[in-house]
Amino acid sequence: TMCAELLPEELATYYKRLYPTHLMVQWLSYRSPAYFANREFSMTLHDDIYLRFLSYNYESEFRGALLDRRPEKIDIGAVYSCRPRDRATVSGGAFQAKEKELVIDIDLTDYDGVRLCCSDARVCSKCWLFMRIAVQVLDRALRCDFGFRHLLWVYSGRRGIHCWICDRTARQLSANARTAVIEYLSLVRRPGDKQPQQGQQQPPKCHPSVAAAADAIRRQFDDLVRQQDLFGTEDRTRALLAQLPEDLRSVADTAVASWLADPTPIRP
Amino acid sequence: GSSAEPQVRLQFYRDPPSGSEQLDTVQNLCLARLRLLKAVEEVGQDMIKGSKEYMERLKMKLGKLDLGASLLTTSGVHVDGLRFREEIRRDVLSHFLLRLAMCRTEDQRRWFITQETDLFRLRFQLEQNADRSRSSRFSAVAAFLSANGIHFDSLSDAERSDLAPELLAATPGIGSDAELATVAFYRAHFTEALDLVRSRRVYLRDGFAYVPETGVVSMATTRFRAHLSHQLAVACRALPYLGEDARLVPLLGAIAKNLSGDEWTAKSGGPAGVVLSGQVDQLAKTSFPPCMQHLHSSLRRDHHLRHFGRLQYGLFLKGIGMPLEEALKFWRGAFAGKVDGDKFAKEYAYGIRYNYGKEGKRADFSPYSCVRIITTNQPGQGDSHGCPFRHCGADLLAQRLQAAGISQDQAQGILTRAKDSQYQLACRDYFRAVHKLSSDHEVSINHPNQYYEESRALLLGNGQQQQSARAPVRVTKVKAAPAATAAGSQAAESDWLDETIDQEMSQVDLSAYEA
Repeated sequence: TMCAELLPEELATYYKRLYPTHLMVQWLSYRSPAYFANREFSMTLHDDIYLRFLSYNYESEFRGALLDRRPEKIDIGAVYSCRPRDRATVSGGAFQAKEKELVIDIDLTDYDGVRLCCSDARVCSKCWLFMRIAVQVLDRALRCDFGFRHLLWVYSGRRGIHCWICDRTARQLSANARTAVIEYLSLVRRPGDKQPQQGQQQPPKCHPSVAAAADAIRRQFDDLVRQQDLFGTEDRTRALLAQLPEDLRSVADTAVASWLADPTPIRP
Repeated sequence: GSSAEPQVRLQFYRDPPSGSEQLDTVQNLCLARLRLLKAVEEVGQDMIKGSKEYMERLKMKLGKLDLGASLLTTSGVHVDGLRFREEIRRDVLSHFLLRLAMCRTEDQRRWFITQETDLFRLRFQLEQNADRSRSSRFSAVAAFLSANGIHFDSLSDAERSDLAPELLAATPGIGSDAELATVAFYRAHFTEALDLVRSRRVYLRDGFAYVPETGVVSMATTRFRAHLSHQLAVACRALPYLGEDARLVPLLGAIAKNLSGDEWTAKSGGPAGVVLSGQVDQLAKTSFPPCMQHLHSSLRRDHHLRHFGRLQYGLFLKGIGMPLEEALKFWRGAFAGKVDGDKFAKEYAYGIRYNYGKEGKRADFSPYSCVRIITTNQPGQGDSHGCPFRHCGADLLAQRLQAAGISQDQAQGILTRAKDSQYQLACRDYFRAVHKLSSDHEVSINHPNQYYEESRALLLGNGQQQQSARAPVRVTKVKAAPAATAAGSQAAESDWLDETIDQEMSQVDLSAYEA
């Protein structure tokens, strides 16, 4: 099931012929060689040797290191105030992380509660629909709400997707701002979460971002329901609706009751 | 001057004060402001921040304190020039002095920033209220913003009506188009309005937030917090160079210790003896706080814990006295059945050694305090970390209380506390209930490891009281210390954060100051 351990020789070939070194360097330089030189890389080698604070001044050095070390995993770290490999030569406070892309990580195992075809590391074209929808929702929000333009969406290799937000504004975001972005994008309320303050509004308001997300989901929801057979059994239906928050409990109960009384197939 | 306009009292604390002061004035000022900030903290724990009751209570409490009354006075209230200058000076001086005292460790910085920001927000709102009810056209808020170079772009009527449907849908507190037309809106980059963005209470488009006038306080507060955070980092890096004044440094250290008596540290009151992996099951039942009990039982049930659960629980175990070898044994055993030895060594052992400072940066990470657990790393689906009083639903919490053998009455009290966001007080009541203590037994829960130690002390029949959390200030003598060398002090501060780098960046080693 899982891929076999990669032999160093195969990795050597990979780095020699397939790994897009030039593109990676071009990307991570953002048109500034000094910026690239201050970037931290870490590598996991064969036998779990983990090396941090690696940095390279030129593409040729980076390529040389890849061929030489043949890492099984490469992590891209932050851009520091000086070259990470020279950090010992500066006084304590002078070595600090300055910029880093904002990376959002979507893992299909987060959907294990609702995807019925697979679980854990298994992924199929049916549950990948969850991912498609997630990407559409996020992509719109990141571009339209936050104005981010340079998004790199990559498959993480197993069961997820990473979105690298590379705009300069994003790279320079403070810690506080990063969590604010994520919280803005967080919607799922679980049982027990407090109701967000709505004040005494009638009718209750739906934030434009949430409405846009709902639109994107609605366009694919029929397919999702059908493929996952989400409401195919009573148990499953009840289990799904049990995940809604307290204040929607009575609405959920009514919906379940009428559904079970007459489960009509969705009209195409 | 002879201008008829009132003088502005509100401070952004941009420029440090100059001149000289007596040492005991310095000490008194520091303690006065510290007392003030502690009052801010306490009211913030007992009430919802920003609510009317919160503001009233804060005004009342601060008004009674030295320094508090003058800080609460709004700009329109006239006092004579001399007194005015004196009050401003006390405000500014006490703030800058406390910056020095509180910039050393990440926990202190975070505490200081939180309380000063809450205080600033209160004062800003009081000024806004005073502006509204003032008959003259003077606006203290406008004068303050302009004096500090803070400018927010306002929307024209045309721009506002173009965006009316979105503004209406996104902005709480405005019910109709008619109402919308009466509210001024500002357009600011989203990084200026983080609190509003975070809670999705503003319209965002193309990176800009459309903020109603009620949001101006939030934007000003965001700037205040960001500015203070940056300045504290600067102060921290400058600290080694203060070594020349052998009087100031111990004073500041003592002030910080006065506060950190509430914080648990591995050095003070650490547990006697070592905890072995085989003892954990029993200890979890009798002495672990509910957050750690939950992590432990999830671990036993699932033979696994996710990253933040492992972090929160692992550091806690380190804090109760489990050495590295026992920790490796414990986790390996706990994961057995789900993770084989090889996979464990490959994926988890590194992380455990890292927490004990045996890998990577080799920093000694502290177990998380209650505040940290409550406010950071919110748990999601499938997570077991966090604070149960905050992160569990009422039903589940009630169930757990019952399972712990707590009576209906006591459980009800605890649930109410949790519902009112008084999580640490709920935990305190829980502690009292499970240890069969009366409701006036003095204890305050600030840290899971402190809960554990208090519990051990009680159960081991330790007659003497645990050293009180509010020990009197001890001023310690420190020899003039050399400036910290590159080897001694590592990467300190940056507003910037990547979860994997956070812990690296948060440690500032100034052991030269540990007397």
